[in-house]
Amino acid sequence: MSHLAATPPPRLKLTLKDRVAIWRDSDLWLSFKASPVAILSTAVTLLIVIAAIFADVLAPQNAFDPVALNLLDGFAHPMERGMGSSMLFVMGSDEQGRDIFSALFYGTRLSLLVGVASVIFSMVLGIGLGLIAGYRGGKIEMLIMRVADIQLSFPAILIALLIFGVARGLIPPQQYETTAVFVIIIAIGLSNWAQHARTVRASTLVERNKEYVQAARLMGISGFGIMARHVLPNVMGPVLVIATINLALAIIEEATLSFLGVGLPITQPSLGTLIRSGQKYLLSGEWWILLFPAMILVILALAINLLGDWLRDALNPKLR
Amino acid sequence: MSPRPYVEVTDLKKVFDVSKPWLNRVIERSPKQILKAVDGVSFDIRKGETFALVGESGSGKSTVAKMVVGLLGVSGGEVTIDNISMTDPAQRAQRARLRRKMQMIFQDPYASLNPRWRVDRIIAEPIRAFNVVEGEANIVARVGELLTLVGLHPDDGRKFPHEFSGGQRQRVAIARALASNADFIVCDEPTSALDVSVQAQILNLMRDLQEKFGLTYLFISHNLAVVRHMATRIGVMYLGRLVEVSEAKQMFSHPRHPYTRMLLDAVPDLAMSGRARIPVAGEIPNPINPPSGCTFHPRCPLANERCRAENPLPINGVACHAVVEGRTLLMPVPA
Repeated sequence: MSHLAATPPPRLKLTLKDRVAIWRDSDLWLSFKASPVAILSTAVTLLIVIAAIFADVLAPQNAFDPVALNLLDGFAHPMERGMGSSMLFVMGSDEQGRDIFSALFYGTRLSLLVGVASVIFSMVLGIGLGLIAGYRGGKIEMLIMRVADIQLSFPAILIALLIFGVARGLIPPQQYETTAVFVIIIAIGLSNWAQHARTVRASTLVERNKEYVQAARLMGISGFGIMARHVLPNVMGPVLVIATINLALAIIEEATLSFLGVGLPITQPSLGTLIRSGQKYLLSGEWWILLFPAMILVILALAINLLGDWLRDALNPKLR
Repeated sequence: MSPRPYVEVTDLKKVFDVSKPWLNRVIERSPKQILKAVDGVSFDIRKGETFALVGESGSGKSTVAKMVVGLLGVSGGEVTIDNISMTDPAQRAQRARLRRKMQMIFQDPYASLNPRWRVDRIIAEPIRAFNVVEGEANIVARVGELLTLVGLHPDDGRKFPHEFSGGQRQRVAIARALASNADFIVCDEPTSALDVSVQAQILNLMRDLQEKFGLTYLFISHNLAVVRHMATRIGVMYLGRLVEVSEAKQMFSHPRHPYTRMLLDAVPDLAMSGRARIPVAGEIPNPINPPSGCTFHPRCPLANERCRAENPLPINGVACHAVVEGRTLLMPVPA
């Protein structure tokens, strides 16, 4: 073609600038800008995430290093200086002189880590199985979806407890502490995959019959290629919503398990572990040990949930 | 002996199991329900011609199209394209080569393009899948060439499908169909989702491309005006059966099957006003429980006892007892 020499050939790859431009032009960004709730909850979530990531730098005290603790600082009230180290305890201290404010950084970090990792785990599992069930259909679909149905008829926390219990039975006791984080990630992840699988399967059933999938089949593209390149990008919208809301649920689930004492050990405290240890002192008047971790947990879960709600509305064309 | 036709469809059948779930069947003691979507369809397409399949909604046109390209398995019969069987499992390897020669243009240009892909990637997909040209620069050039060919600008490749109108999207779909140098293109109602003004543009583009590359079309449509514009030969489908196959000109000047006449009479036409016409009677029956004998008999003004009892076989391209027995003279002749 003669004019090809005159016009620069179109590039097939998107540059970063293109992507930013597309994003700034998108409905999602416009809806985000117009929603104060979304902006606020994003800001809160980001603040907590950054605080958690940089816990080592930001926390005034290395709260889980026994060397850094001074027993004389024990049970300092909020905004009180410790009797031993004379450091200021903004949120008070626990019986070992541990700064609650610092403990929150580390606890949030672990809670977020477990939450994010377990959501990713359940997403990968759920999306994979959901795609296969929706795209292949037949007996495989029956099998996967019935397992999902059965699992969904139990509360997620019960499933997590069960998986946790089985894992405990399999792992030798001296390895409890090193493996606890992985066990709980897998336990929570496995207890949540069914929702992802259901969502993905439903969307896949819709997309599978669209003509662009048939066009790809005509080109002889394999089932896996179609699932990964055509169907997956088009079913990710609802999955992201579920994943966001599941993140809040996973964090709460982890806190519940830790509160019940079957989650993370006291040497690796999450928010749930902190609440559990604080609950012992609630009735004797040391309310701050329980209150502050619980508050952060509530704020974090609320912010992520609101973010998920906004995302759900923003991605739902019927609500616009 | 004349050369073998490019596409041969012989006694093609498709049944769908539309029974209730197993448990319901057992409890309600209801039998299995089978829907015969396509029931013994035979036709052939010569190289370079446009064979049109027309018929009402639910007559099985699209099912035939999907079986011809292999998107849907057949329940019986045979499809042969370029001497390669589409239905014989032994010819799998040959079929893989055939795929590249065979593409499809779909009805809904809003669903046939992946909304998350940019147009250049969509058009490049068959090029990459079949390794038509090697090297990124060559692919880019080829995509630009194809876009120009269908009346778009090479820079349009950087856009997403939602930035185009329906007609432009259909142009993109045509470009994709041509990308692998296909020479047999199945068009499943390619213009029925478009505005009338755009339909003509797309149809003319398709005809131009047919001339330029010697394409063979299997053209599915329910719009007789469109078919008249495009087709060399026409097959009329009714309830999964082919009731008439004729040359296009003959079909419009001398429709033979009563159903074809009814269809032609149903076309709103200013020149026709005031003349006698067969009113369109009734609707297409439920294919799960089709009428006995000739499935058209409940709507046919010429039906007699034989039509109710015996299914007519195609003779000279028409499957109708009345035509064979010369009873059509009783029918008012349009035009």
